[in-house]
Amino acid sequence: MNRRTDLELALDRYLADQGERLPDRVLEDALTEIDHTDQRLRLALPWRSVVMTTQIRLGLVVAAVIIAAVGGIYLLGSRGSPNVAASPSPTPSATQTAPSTSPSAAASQADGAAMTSFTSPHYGYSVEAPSAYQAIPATTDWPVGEALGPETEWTDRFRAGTNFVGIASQQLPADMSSAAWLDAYARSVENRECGGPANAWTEMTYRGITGRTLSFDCGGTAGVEYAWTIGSRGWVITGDSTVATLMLHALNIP
Amino acid sequence: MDRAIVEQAARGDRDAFGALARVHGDRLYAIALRILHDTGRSEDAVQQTFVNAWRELPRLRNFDRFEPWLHRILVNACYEEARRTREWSSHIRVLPIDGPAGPDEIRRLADQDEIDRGFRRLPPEQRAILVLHHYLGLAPSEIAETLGIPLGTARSRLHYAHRAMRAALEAESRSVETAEEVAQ
Repeated sequence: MNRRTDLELALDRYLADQGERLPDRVLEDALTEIDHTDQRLRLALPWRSVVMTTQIRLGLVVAAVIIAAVGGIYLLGSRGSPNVAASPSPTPSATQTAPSTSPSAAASQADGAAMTSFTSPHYGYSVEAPSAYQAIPATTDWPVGEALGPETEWTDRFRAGTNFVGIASQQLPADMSSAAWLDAYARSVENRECGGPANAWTEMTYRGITGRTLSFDCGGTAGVEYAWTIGSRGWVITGDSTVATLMLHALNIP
Repeated sequence: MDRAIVEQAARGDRDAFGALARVHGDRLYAIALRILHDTGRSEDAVQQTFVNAWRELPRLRNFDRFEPWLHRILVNACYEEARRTREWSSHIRVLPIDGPAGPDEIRRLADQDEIDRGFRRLPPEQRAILVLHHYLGLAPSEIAETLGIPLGTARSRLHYAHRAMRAALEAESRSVETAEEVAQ
């Protein structure tokens, strides 16, 4: 059943260990550079490491149902709408306007008791989050080159136990294109413990806005990143896949 | 054994990090060499890996996952090295050919030079998958954990990497035949 093919056996031989040794000078150069390199701040709170509570599980089930409902409503609504297809360039120029059948409103209608509205004091958007999630607003601007995380103060954080969703926005640096900003953000999360390679991002389109998304594994749990730009601002939602996707659909950017 | 040293390094102990770098350096270099096929670029990738790992280490939550995390940083550094030189994408376009190996293929597989040339035709992403599987001996689930990609994606990438390797061998065989015809 598990028989290896000739090709696999040939690759085993070809890639077999040959006792390569890293030259001492490479190690010495690296350690010299490290002497002048600061470490990033520690994040004391793990993203996912403890068992979810029953309340949170229930919340996620409700969220999944809402996503299915909202997705269906939105798809039906968008059939009659012009121009929501993907554009070839990941540089949307239109400003965001909520569709007439707002997924956010639909989410509320689907289960108002399960969702709580949040308006970001720092970034100005509004969103609905599962009520079990506590919102912790961002208090500082999001620095260029940094990723979002459960304890980064530039992130609007939605937490329930160790479940986490983060949202933030950033002015694109002068002369930086949308594609370059998306590339830079992808690189900023590739070495994060819960992250994935920069070349694993794929294009996505949402409400006519083209952006990129990354699915990754986070200690056995599915995580997701959604990144896009509107005008000269970049936006990211990251976190547990189900809830982050739900919140993307319930996001309203003025 | 690593765990206590990793904790120390994560708290800013440079000597502890130096000890980790010495333990893991040769293995990282071997992986980079297999992906990049260039000693200079492999050395650069390993050096960058150590710097990135040092910088990010305080944010590693599970110290027991230090080694796979280090491998992920290395693979990303190798991609960056490959991107920088742009050698790969302009090199060759591999045509996908699927199907069981025939007698001719078995004959060719005996030729390690041919394997080498075929492997060099692959883009770094496919080389990396094959190196993780055939050199480190990682199962698809471990590849997924190392690269931070879903299991299904890891399985499919491994499948496509094998398929691309088979196609690269075919392309290599065709180019040799063409060269022989021209010589005649």
